[in-house]
Amino acid sequence: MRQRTVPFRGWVTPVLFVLPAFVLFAGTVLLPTIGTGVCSFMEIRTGLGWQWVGLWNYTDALFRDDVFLLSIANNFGYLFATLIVEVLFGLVVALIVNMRYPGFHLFRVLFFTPMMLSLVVVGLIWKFVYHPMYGILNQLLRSAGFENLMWPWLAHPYTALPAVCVVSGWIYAGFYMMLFYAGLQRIPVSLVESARIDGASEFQCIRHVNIPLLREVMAVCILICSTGAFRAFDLFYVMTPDGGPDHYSEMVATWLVREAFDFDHLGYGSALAVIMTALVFLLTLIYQIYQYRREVIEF
Amino acid sequence: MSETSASRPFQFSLPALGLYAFLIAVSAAMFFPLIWMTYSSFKATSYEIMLNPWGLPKDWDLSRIAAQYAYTWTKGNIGTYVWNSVAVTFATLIIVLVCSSMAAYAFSRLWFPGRDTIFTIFLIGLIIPTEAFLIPLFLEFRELNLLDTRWCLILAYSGTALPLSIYILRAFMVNLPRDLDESAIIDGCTSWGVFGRIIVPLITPALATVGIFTALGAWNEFLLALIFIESESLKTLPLGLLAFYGYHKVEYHYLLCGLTITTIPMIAIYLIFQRQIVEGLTAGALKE
Repeated sequence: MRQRTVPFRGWVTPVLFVLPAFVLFAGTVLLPTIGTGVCSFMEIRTGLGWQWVGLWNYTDALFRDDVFLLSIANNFGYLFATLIVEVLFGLVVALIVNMRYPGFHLFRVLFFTPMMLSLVVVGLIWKFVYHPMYGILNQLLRSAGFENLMWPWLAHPYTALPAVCVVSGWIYAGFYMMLFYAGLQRIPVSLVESARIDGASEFQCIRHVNIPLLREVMAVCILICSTGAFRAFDLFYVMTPDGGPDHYSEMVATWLVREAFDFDHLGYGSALAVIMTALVFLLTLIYQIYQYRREVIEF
Repeated sequence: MSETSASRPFQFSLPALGLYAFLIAVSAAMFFPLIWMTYSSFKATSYEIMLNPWGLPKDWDLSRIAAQYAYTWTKGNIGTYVWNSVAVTFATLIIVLVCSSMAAYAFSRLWFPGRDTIFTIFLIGLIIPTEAFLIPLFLEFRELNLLDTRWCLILAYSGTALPLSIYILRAFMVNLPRDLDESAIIDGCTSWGVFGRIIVPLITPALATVGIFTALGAWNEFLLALIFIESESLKTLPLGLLAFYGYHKVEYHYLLCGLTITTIPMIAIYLIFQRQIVEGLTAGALKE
C-alpha cells in the first residue's frame, strides 16, 4: 500500500493531520469499547466503587438471567421478521419500481421518506396507530365490522413484537429498496435486452437475470439488517417501555440499558454488551468469509 | 451511475395496472399515519380525537390552531429542544468535517509509520455498535464532569461518525488525480497548503454526503442522549419529544402538534434535497 512517491519528507505533519480524528475516535469509541471488556469482569456500583468478580457476570447472564435469554430469542425473531418486512419487501418494491412505468420514480422517492424521521417520532406516531381504544387501526377494524378483532396490539405478549416489526419495516423497507435499486442500475442494459431478444418474458428476465446479479447487494443488505437487528433499541424503548408485556418484546439492548442504568449494574451491563458485540462481530465475520470465498471461487 | 434512463411509454395492460394499484396502495398505507397525525393535530381537544379518531377536525379556525402550535412550541419546550438539537448537530458537523477530511487526506496522500494499521482501526469502528462503548463512555464523562452538558453529546456523536466519514472521504480522494497537488508541491506548497487549496475544493461533493449522514445521525440520535442528558434545558429533540409525551399523555392534540412540528419540516427537507439525501444515507452501504 505504501506510495512509491512520497512528496513530503518526515512524518510529523502527516501525524498532525490524523491526530484530532484519532484522539476523538480513541476517546469516545475505541478505548471505551476496550473498557467494556474490562468492566465486564467487575461489579460496579455508583458510590460504592468496584471489585473484580471474574466470569461471574457472564455465568449470571448465560445461566441465571431468563430475561436476557428471552431477549436474545426475541432479537433473533426480530432479525428474521425484519429480513422479510425490510429486505424482502424492499427487493420486491425495487424490482417493481425498476420496471420504469411513468411515475414510478415518484414512488421510489416516497418510500424512502421515513428514513428522515427519528425513531422516537416514528415510535410515538405508531403508538397512536396501535392505541387499544382510540388507535386508528382498531377503529378501522371496528368500522369494517370486525369488532371482535380489536386488539391491544402493543400490550399483548403475542402481538407486541410483531407490531414493532411492522413499524421497523415501515421505516427501513424504503432504505433497502434504494440499495437494491442502485444495484439494479448497475446491471448492464444489454444483458436484459439480449435476454428479451432470446424470448424471455419480463418475469423470466427478473428471475434469471436481475435477481442472480443482485446477489452481492443482497449479501450487504442481509449484513446490515442482521447487525442492525442486534443494535435495535429506540423503537422498542419508545413503543414497548419496560420490555413490553412480560418482556415479550425485550431486546438485548433495552435489557442492557435497564440493567446498567436503572438497576445500576454497570459491570453486568458491560458483560451483556460484550455478548451483544460478539454476536454483531460474528455476523460480520460470516459475511467476510462469504465474500472471500466468492472471490476465491469465482475469480 | 447513469441516472434514470427514460421511463418506458405506458402501455395499457393488466399487469401494469396491477403494479400501479400495488404501489398506490402501499404508499397510501404508508403515508396515512403521517397524514392522520397532521390533520388530527388541528383538532381542538383530545376528546375530539378520542371520540372520532378518523374524522376530520370540526372547525378549521386558523387562529386557534396557531395558538395550539404556539403553546406546544413555547410551553411544551419544543422550541428549546429544537435549539439544542441545532446546536449539537451544527457543532458535530463542523468537527466531523474538519477532522475527517484532514485524516482522510493523510490516509490517502501522506505517509507515516503505522498509517495502515491506524486506518484499519478506524475501519473496525464501522461495525462497533453504540451499546459496545456506552457504559465506559458514561463513566468516562462522569469522571470528566461532562455528563449532562452539550459537549458530551457533541464529542460522542463526532467520534461515532468519524470512521464512516474518513472511509468515504479517503475512497473519494484516492480516485482524485495527483497532477494538481504535485504541481502545487513543485510550486512550493506545503501539505497544509495542498490540503486547503487543492483537496478541500475538490472533495465538496463527498463532504456533502458526509455532512448529510452526520447531521441526520446527530439530529435523530436517541440512546446516547437518553443516558447522558438529564436537564430539561439540554434535551435534544428525540429525547425532548419523549419527555413531552410523558407530560401530555392524555392531551393528544398537543402531542400530535409536537410530532407534526418535528416531522413535516424533515419531510420537506427530504423532498427538496432527495437526491443528495438518498446518496448520503446509502453511502455507507454501497461503498462496502
